[in-house]
Amino acid sequence: MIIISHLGNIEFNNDAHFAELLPPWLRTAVSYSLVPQKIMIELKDVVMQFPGHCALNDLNLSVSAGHVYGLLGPNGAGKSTTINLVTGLLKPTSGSIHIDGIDVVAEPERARSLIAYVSESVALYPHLTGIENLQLFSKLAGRQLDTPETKACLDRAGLQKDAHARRVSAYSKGMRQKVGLAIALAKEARAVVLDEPSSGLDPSASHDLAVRVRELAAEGLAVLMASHDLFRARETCDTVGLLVRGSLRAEWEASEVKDRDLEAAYLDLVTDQAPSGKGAK
Amino acid sequence: MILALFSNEWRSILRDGRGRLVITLGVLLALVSAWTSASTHASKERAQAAAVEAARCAWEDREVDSAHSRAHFGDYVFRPSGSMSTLDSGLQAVTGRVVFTEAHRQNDAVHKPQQAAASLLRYDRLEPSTVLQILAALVLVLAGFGVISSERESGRLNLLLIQGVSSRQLLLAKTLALWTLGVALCLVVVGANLILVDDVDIGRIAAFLGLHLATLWVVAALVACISARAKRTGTAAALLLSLWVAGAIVIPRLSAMSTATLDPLPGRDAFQAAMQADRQQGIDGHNPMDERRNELERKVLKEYGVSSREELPVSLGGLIMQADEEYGAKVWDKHFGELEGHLLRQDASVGKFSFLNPFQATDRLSMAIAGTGLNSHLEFLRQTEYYRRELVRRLNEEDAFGVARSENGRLLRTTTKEFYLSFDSFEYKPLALGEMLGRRTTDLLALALWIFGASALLILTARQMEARRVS
Repeated sequence: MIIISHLGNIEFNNDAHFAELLPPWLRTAVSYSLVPQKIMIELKDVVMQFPGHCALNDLNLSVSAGHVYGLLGPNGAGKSTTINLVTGLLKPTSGSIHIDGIDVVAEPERARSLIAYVSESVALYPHLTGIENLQLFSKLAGRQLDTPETKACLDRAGLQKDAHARRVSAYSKGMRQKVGLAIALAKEARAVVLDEPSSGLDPSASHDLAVRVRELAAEGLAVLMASHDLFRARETCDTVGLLVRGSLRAEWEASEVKDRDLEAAYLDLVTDQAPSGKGAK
Repeated sequence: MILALFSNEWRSILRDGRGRLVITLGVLLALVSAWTSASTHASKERAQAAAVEAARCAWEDREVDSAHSRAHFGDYVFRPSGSMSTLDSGLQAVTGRVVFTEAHRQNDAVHKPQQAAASLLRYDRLEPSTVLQILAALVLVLAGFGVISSERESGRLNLLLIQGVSSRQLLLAKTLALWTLGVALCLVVVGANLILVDDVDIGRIAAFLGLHLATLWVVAALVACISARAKRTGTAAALLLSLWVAGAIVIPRLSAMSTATLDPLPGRDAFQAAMQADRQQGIDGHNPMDERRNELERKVLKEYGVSSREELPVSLGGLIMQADEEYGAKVWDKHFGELEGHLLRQDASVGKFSFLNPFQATDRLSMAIAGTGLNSHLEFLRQTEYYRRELVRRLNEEDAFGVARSENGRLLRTTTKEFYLSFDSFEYKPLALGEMLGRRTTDLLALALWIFGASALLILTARQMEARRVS
C-alpha cells in the first residue's frame, strides 16, 4: 500500500522495460508513472457564488491519472460544492472545469460519462439486490453487464459474495460504499470523485475503502476525495489540499507530511492563523 | 434508459409492501365496482323487462274501451339504462327512468325540478367511473408522492444524473410508470366490464377508456411534477393529498352549491303552480261550462254546417280533448323549455369549474359517453313527451273520428282491438356519441388544456431540475 502510494513520485526516465521486471500487480501502477501523467480533473480560477455567500473563490486544482487527491477542510469549506462542480451538478459562477479535457459546463453529458461518483452514503435502490443495483446503474451509464460481469465487478470492489444477491436494504454502509465503487468501476470512468467516503465507517471498513481507492488509482483513474479524516486522507492520497472558506489554502504531497504536522497546519489554517505547514499557499 | 428507469419504478412498486397494498386495494375496488355495477344493471334490466312486458300486456289485454278512456289509462315509458351505465350510471339514480304518460298532463315524477344542481353531481357511489376518476387518482398519489422527492432526499438523484440520466428522462420515466399503474386499473375495470356485461358498445367503451387514460395522464404528470418540485417527500404528500381532496370532494360540491345559490331552480310547487296557471288559460276539455270549449263547439258546428252536436258526424269530445292537448303542449313547451334552459345554464356554470378541476371535466364527459348525463335525461324527457303527444293525438282522433251515427242518431264507436294493437311501445333513441360529445365542447376543451398544461409542466419541471442547485 505504502509502496504504491509512493510510485507516483518515482522518476523512471521513460524506461518502459522496467515495468516488465515488476510483479503483475504493480505493473499498471508503474506504467502510469512512466508516461507523463495526464491531468484528468482540472479546475481553473473557479468561483462559486451563492446568494449571500461565496462558496469557492478562485479555486485552482488538478488531479492526474493514477493520483488520489484529498480535499480536506471543515464543514462549509466548499468541499461538497467542489465535488458538485466537478460532477456537473452545479455550474460555476466563473472559471473552468475540465474532465480529461472536456469542459464540464459546455459538454456536461460527455464530461459525466467520464466521471464516477461515490457519495458519503451511497444511495442505492433498497428494493434491489447488489447485482440488480449495479446492473441498473451501469445500464443507465450505457453499459449492459451480464450477471458474471456484474459479480466480477462487485468482487473487485470487495463486496463479499454472499451479499451479491441480497437486497441492499440489508447492507451496511461499508457494503453500500463497495457497491458504489463497483458502479464506478463498471462505468469505466477516468475520474472518480468521493464525497466523505469514510464518514461513519468503522476503522476496518474505512481501511478497506482506502485500499479500494488506491486500487482505483492503480488502474489509472484520477481520484478526487473530499474528507474530514486527516489521517486517513494522508494515508490514502498522493496529494492533500486544505480548503478553508472556499479557498485552497495549502497543498502537500502526502508522503512529505507527517500526521501531526498535517493536523497542526489544519488547525492553524482553519482557525485562520498563519499557515505553518509545508506547501502552505 | 427511460425503459430501464420505468422498469425499475415498477419493480420498486411491486417489491414494496405499501406499493403492493395500494395496488391490491385498487384492483379489488375496481373488480368489486365492476361486478356490483354489472349485477345491479342485470337485475334492473330484468325488472325493467318484466315491467315493460307487464305494461304492454296491460295495454293489449285491456278490453276495447273508448279512446278517451285509453288516453287516461295511459302508458308507461321506460328508458333503458344501457350497457354503459354499468361503467357510469351518471344521473340515472337521481332522475329515474320511468315516466307514466297520459292525456292532459306531463307527469314529472321522475324529473324533479326542485332538485338543486348539487344533486347532479355524484361521488358517493362505488362504480367503475368513480373508481377511475377518484380512487385511481388517489392510488397514483399514494404510489407517486415520493417518486422524485425521495430520489433527491436519498441522494440517488445525484448518482442518477452523474450516471447520465437527464432530468427529462427521469421525469418522463417516472410519469410513465405512474400512468401505466392507472392504465392497469383502467384495463381491469374495462376488462371486467367486457366479461360481465352483454351487449357492450365498443365505440363508447373505447371513448370511456381514452377519457380516463387521458385524465390519469394528467394526474400522473401532476404527481411527478409536484414530487419533483417539493423540497421534501412529506411536503409533496401533503400537497398532493390536499389537491386530491380539493379536486375530488371540495370543488365539485362548491361549484354545485354556488351555482344552486346564485341561480336557483324554481321549487317544485312553484313550477307546478306556474304550469297550472297557464294551463287554466286554455280549454278545459272536461268542463262543460268552459267558455273556450263552447267557442270551439260553435266553430266545429259551423265547419260541419250543422246546428247541434247531435248532428255532427264526429265526436266533439275528441276534438275538444285534442285542442286541450295542443294547448297543454304549448304550456309544457314553454315551461319545460324554461326549465331546460335553466338546467343547461346551471350545467354550463358548473362546467366552467372543469377548467379548475380536471375531475369535473372527466366526470361530465364520462356521463356524456355513457349516455347517462343531463343531456341524455333531457333528451329522454323530450322523446317521452313527443311519444305522449303522438299517443294522445291518435287516441283523440280515434275518439273524434272513430264513430258512426246509428239510425236513431246515437253515436257509436267503431274502434277495434287492432287499433290499440297498432301502437308501438316507446323506444328511446339515445343520442349518438358524436352528438353527445358535441354538446360537451367546454369540458373537452378543459380536458385538452389540462393535458397540454400537465405535459408542459413536465417539460418545465425537467428544465428547472436541470438548472436547480443540488447543494
